Amino acid sequence: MIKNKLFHLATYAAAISFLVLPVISVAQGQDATGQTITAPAAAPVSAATAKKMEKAKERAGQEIDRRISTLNDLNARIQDMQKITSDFKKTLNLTIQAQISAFSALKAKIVANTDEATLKSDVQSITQSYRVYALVFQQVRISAAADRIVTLTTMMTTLGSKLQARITAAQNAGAQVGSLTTTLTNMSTKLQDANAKAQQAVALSIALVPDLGDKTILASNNAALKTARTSIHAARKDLDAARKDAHTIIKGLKSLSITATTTPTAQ
Amino acid sequence: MFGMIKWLVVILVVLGGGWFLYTSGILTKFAPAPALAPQAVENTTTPPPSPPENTNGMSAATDASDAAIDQDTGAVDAQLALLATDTTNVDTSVNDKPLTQLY
Repeated sequence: MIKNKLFHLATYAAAISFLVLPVISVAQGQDATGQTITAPAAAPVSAATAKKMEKAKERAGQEIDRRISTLNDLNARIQDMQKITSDFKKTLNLTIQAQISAFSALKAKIVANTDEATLKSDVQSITQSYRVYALVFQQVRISAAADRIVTLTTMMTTLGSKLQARITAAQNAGAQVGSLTTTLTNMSTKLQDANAKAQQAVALSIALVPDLGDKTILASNNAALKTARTSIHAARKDLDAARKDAHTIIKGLKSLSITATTTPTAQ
Repeated sequence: MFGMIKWLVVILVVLGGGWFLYTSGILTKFAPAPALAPQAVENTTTPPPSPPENTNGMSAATDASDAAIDQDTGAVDAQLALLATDTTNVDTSVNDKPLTQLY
């Protein structure tokens, strides 16, 4: 039986908290470094500036809405994951909800803003937080795919045990099962490889930290994420191949027309 | 003898203090968060409770009948379809681009 490991998703909570810090600080009247901003008295703005501010507000609102939508999708996917505990799901849910609230508050602040300098600072905080958001976004997507892969290897291992029992029954009844046994071995190898690839993908992505503008870290992160994605794709191919092996075995067993009288032994 | 009485008093104070902390609930405020990382699991002798098993539509583990195997392959196919969505989401996340801001 393939042993499944829990993922280091506790680290994701810390990683997601990076999203919270710059946005909440701005929403509370602080800049991205935590310094309190004293809002200057709103000076009358020209029509051109007012038009520019309206456009900036609209663009900022669209980006905030886009991120809130993604966070809601991520949250829903996290709740569907099967290899993390319900307590940890609640923790992640609360963290994401806090982030969504912070974004909503920032959007309201931007909409209400009448001073261009303050508006500019608020809008720039959106850009500054993007690199963190983008990294966490990819990390959670990779983790969700890996979670599904491990779930599938568990399911297909159980299926494999049943097919083994049926092959054994056929062999005991005098049937030639050499090719079926070979196919079952291939299936098992594919499942083990899929599991290993999933673990590798998570290990590669979860170790990454936001680049915060550092191009060297950004390049390193991109390379690691690319490798993690490649591992996910490779694991999926393994599972597709294992599924085909299962189909081959089932078809072979049906051609032998031998009913199972034994049950798979616990592993 | 007085030395022994002194140690007895110390022990009683410690035990009494511990009982107070326990009954007052103060200790629970500092209880560590449930361990989730594998290394925390490895360091304990009692494994943490595992999440309730999700059968994902699979039949009973001990049932190797044709019907059970058909059910299992159907359940696997459903999860493989969901994996296709997950994989697409991974690829989409790579190509995510922010909306350019005016400031």
